[in-house]
Amino acid sequence: MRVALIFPRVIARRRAAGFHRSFRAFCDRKESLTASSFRIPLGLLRQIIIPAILLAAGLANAAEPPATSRPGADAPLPAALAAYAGFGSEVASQMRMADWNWSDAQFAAFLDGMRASRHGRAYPFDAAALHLSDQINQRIAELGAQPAGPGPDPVDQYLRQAREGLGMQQTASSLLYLIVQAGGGPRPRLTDEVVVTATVTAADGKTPLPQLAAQHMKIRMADLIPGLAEGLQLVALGGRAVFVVPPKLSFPSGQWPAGVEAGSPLIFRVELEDIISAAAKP
Amino acid sequence: MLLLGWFALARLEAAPPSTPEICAPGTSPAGAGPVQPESTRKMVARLRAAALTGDLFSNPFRFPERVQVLRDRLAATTDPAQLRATKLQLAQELLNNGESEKALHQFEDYERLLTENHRPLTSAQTVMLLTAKAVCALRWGEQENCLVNHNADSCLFPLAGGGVHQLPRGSRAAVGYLTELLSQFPGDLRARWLLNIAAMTLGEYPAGVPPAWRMDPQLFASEYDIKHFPDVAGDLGLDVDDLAGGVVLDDFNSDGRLDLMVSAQDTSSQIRFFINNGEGTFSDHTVAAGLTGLTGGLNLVHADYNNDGFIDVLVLRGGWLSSSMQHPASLLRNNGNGTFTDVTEEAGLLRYAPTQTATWFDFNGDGWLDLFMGSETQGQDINPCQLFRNNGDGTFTECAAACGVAVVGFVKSVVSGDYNNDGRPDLYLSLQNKSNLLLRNDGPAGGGVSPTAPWKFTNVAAAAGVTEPFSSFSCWFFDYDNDGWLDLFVAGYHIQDVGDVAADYLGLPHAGERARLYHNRGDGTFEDVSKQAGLDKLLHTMGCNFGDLDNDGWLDFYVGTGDPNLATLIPNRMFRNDGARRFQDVTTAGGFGQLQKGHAIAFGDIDEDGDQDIYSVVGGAISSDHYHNQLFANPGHGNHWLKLKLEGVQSNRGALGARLKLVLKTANGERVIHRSVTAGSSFGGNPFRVEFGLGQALAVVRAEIFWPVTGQTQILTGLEIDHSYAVREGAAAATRLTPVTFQLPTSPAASHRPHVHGSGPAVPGNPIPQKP
Repeated sequence: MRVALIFPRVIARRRAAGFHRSFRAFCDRKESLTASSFRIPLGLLRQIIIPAILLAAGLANAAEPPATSRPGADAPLPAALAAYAGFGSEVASQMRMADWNWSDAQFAAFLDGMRASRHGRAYPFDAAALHLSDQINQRIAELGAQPAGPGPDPVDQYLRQAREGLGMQQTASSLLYLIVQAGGGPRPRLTDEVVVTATVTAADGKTPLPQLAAQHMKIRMADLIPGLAEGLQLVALGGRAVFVVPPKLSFPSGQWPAGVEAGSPLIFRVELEDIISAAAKP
Repeated sequence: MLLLGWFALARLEAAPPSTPEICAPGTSPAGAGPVQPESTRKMVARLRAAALTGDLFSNPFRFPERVQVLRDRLAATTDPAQLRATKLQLAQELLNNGESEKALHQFEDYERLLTENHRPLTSAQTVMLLTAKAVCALRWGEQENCLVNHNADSCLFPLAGGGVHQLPRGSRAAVGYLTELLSQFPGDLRARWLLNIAAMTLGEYPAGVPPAWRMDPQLFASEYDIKHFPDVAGDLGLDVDDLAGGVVLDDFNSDGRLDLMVSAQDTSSQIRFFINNGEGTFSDHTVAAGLTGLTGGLNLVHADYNNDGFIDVLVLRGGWLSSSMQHPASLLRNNGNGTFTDVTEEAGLLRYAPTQTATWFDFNGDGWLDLFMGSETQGQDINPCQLFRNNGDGTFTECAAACGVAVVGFVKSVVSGDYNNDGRPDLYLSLQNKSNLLLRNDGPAGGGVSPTAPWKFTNVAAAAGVTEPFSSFSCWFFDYDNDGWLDLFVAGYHIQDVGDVAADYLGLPHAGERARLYHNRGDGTFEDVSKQAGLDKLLHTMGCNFGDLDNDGWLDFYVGTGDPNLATLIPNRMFRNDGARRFQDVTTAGGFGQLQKGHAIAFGDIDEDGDQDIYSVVGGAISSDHYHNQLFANPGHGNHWLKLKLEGVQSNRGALGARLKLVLKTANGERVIHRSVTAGSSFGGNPFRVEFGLGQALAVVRAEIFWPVTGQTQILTGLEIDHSYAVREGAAAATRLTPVTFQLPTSPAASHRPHVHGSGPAVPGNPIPQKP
């Protein structure tokens, strides 16, 4: 059961990382993004991964200590292995391992435990190990981890990742926005018409949704889905922005367009090309 | 938007290039003060070279030459498309060079070219042209009135009284352009904001603004009726008229009075040094101090790095520029005899990485102040931050990588403070378009005790909850609620244009970046209390600092606002701390709403009357965007005060980092006030002596001074309210001081002298000529 619970989430996380990579290019905001932007949710680590690591160590008993650390650990890694090291560093970073204040010997023992488990001769997950596990979980909680309990709402989690990882801003309604290119002067009002060009993708940041795209489309602000109407008011004429529209600010229930996954966040990249104000009409 | 684009491109255009004449080695021109040491002359030569680096269109300080080049290019152009492009570029450069009326005519010509053969303008072109012409006209009015016919009310928002223009033609024209623009685009918040400003300059606000576009005066009303602080800089000759820059307000000659050092970022801007004469006047000692030819400096950070009892200064240069511009930071050692020597190279600090922020702190607790310098990385111009360990012999050793703090990013600010009260100073870095960093000082990396061992810093910003704002600028640690834990303020710094600021005042949605006030929970984490404190505002802050406006014992703050865009005319803002419950905007009541660009700020009791005055550096980044600095004289608020000047013995001599707890007897029982020895914010230099406001305290019960290096707490009793004391680390008692007090003018002189860019007494022998 444990495996069944864990792996879907891990896969989902990998998919999320893929989304983020696409989204980074999508936003044209390379200078503001770093590899460290895409963090594994700490709550997930605390609830799933750390217990998984520690519990996995208890699946089998080892009769003898495993081998010590890999010789030449400081030597440059072959390119083919660098990704594994990077993943390891990311996991360690997310687990706040630097804050555990372990000695080198303790850390070496930890690695030995993992290695031993992989070779089917793990150390026992005894009371001492359980105590250590609790201490680590407590430590992570002190460092600001999400409280234990029911898993977070996937949409909220998605929005939080996008917000924190990509430096997006969030309005009170929970719309995410990023001004990619500042405009200037006029901002559309709800009574105005606007001319926009927009590309749209699904929440993975990759799957295009051409049925929602627009080319120089003239439309009344009042006719836009609420998230876009709210977002465009933030943009000045000539500006470009990315919006992540949560489902509650998107299409009404039962009115989602064909081919668009109902209830999922949508990503709009919009250029505000013109504003036609009611007062300016002949 | 084209308009925004060219404003952004022009953000750093500055003064004319120089054709300097360098003093021959070992000589000093007549009237040029003492013969400068070789090291100072070398720095002057470096700065001279930096002023000429890059080609005409890549060096932001060679701006005026471009106007002539474009004129020549225009005369030689026949291709219509090229003609339009050059005409537009020339119009932009003329405006940035301060030739506003000529720029306006060029924009009109450009419009004629665009509309030849009855071609209609696009919406974007219409907005750009009307806005550009309005800005030209507004600048024209500002130059004719706020600068040439300057008085103490000039450019003080909301404009009234003497702030109303006597020569209205610029503002009148601007009203026309803006009205036309708003008629077509009623949602143009930038035009709406500027229209209200223009109407103020004409004395026609609010009634003269059509109701649909009027901004209610109540939006700008103060939340607390603090007394008016007159600007008396002109009376004292401290109204240096220049671009963005830094300030240090401290006692440079150890006579007990606060002196002043001021810089501006232009490569031809002379650093200025003013001595407080103690009887209501200041003397310009720039030349006598051997500073001639030391120019530039977007920011200044001071400290007694060599523990000789005299305040030294680090000049930060190259901010917003790339390292290819070759602007070095420089360390000015105070020789203790009224002169300074540039010791950058011999100290091991010579570097050309662009920087506008640094902090002095004793990270390894050896009693010598170390230095962290934040650097700017842009694209492939990678400049890691540097940590310089003080060797205790006048030199430094760089150790950032070994200590894990060689941060790569566009670092806008760095401040130090012991946020977790473990006795070790930590670092907070704000970055542009990246999560901010809180680098917890964890002590020696190997657990040893040697101060020269690698040190360990850990970024705990995410866990502590202090990564925002994403687009941030200046910041500071301060204990705003007097609970003994350092809180954190971080300024936001992003708008599309000034319309976002208008939207913030109007309560409309906008995409601007708000400030953050983080309350220290005392458990390693912070709570964002911006909203509760009334600070979830779009302050668009550059320089700033904190102090106690009314001596009530609660720390207030002042932010210098704006950006390089000439249309970003927004007031500096002052906030009064209402007993840690809320920060009240007192900008209007106090007379602090300077519309011109605000930079470094310093709070200090210049006239030794017990309350803090405020020095404010004013001026932008474009050569035409200069303005004169201000000195706001505190009118007094009837509260008590106490000043303590600390001297470290085992700790660094300036006591930087020491923590103070003052226990007071009041009518309602005991009250506690917490302070630190600090220069304040990342962009402005407060004096290191601690100036306490005591409110209506009846007596000082005791002062507790925690010295982090020794871990000892020194307890002092017998301190009397409304007095100043010197305190030596470890001494049993404080020494009472008797400073000479005087009164700054209570109202400014009727007229200030006209502004002259780079004004102030001439600096004879300056190898880099001053601006015309």
